[in-house]
This record gives sequence, structure tokens and C-alpha cells, in this order.
Amino acid sequence: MPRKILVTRPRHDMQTAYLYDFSEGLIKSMRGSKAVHITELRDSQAVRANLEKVIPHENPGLVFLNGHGDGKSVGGYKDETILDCKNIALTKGRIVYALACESLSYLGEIAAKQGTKAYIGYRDKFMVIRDLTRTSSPSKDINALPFKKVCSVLINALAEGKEVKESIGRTRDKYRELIKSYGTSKDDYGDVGLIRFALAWDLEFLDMAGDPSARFT
Amino acid sequence: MEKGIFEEQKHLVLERFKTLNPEAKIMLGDGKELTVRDLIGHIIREDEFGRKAVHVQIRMLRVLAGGS
Repeated sequence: MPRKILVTRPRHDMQTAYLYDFSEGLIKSMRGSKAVHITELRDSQAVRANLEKVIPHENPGLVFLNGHGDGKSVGGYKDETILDCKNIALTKGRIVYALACESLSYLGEIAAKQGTKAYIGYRDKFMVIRDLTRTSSPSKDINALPFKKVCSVLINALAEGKEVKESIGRTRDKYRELIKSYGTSKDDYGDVGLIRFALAWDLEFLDMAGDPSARFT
Repeated sequence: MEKGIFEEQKHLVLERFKTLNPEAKIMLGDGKELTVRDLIGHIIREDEFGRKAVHVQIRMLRVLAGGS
């Protein structure tokens, strides 16, 4: 039986359009896979009612949430709260990766206490630097590319079945590699200093709660 | 952190941020955006966000210098 991933991918403003693009690689790489089955809640499908219906029905081992967030919640389409303390029990026995601001700081800790295998996310805001001339096409945005790369490293490692601690370790290594490589990049528009700062910020606040040895099964 | 050390770090970080385009923006995952000018303001005021920014920028410099 294939292992199952559920991905929420709202896309209703600039920030969610970038996160939507970040998860596109995972969707493409897993399409046609016999080992892993992906269920997407895309655009207007990324609402609370669908999440609450699909998780018990599909029983995914890995839940990948993309959206706005705060300490106590993760958002879906048009910022509807799709995961908070009231329905966090849905993630019991699963691994959650929340590509959203701050949700690890409170919701992730609560999740781990209530039986979520591991909750990976950010303890503070999640930062991305964009090319101001490329906001209508995030996939062509060179400034956003390093942020996309690190997110891909993490979700791909989890999807491959690596332990959470190893997946995070690989991701932190990628952050450091990119910070160093951007330190020597050509910088026609003066964005490199800001990209390095934002990468360092995301590196600082990426963390997890729960079992570091958990794997996606 | 010792006040004097923080002051030195704050000064160093401010000088670096002042070399950037003040209107360049950081996109935040909570739906907001922050300009370099805003970021410098947080650091000057030494509010929570500004203090975190100083800490992170110092960590970034350590990574650049080959540390972790």
C-alpha cells in the first residue's frame, strides 16, 4: 500500500502564490509514484471542512501545510483557519510540516503533546525575499529560489522516509550552504544582503516538536 | 547578553543594513511585508523584533565566516 501525503496549497495572494510554487516540485516528483500517493487540497479546496474530511478518510502519514499562520493556527484558502487547537487531534500519529509563520511556537507544541508524531515548522515569522519585478510569476523569481530550494530539501527528505531530525539537519545544512554561496554572488540590485539575512532568519527559527526519530510511514 | 556587546553588535548590524536599498522588502508568511527601512527602525528601537534581527544577522555573519 502506498504511503500517503496530504498537501494544502491555497493561492489567493502574493505570499500564498509563492508557497504554492514552492510545493509544485513535490507534486510533480510524486505524480505517478507507486510508493507515495499525494492528495492535494488546492486553491479553494484548502478549507477546514475538507481537511477534516480528507485526513480521516485518506489517513496520510505526512501532512504538508502551506499558508499563512500564527502561533495558534495555520490558514487555508482566503486565510480561513484550517488547523488549530480545536482540530489538532486530526494530526495524531502523523508528521506535520507547516510552511507558515510561527505555528510551531504554540500549536506545534500542543500537537506533539496530544500525539502528533512530529510537528515541523517555524517558531517565528517565515521570510522570503522576492524580486519586485517577478511577483506575477513566482516560478521565475531568482530571489525566491533559495527559499524554494530549502523547502524542497525538507519535504523531499521527509517524503523519502528520512528521520525528522535528519531531514531538518539536511535543511539546515542547505541554509548554510546558500548563505555562503550568496555571499559571493553578483549583486546588481543590492538584494543579496537581504537574502542572506532572511535565509539566516528562517534557519534560526526552523525547528520541530515531538519525536526527532519519527519517519513518514 | 552584556549591554556593551549588544551595543557593538547592534552598531555593526545597522551599518550593514544601511548599505541596502531602504525600500527593499522582506515578504513575511503572515501576509505582511517589511522594508529595510522598517527593519532598521526595529533595531534602533531595540524592540523584540529588532533584537532578534541583530541576533540573526550576527549568526549569519558567523555562518559566512565558516562557523555554524
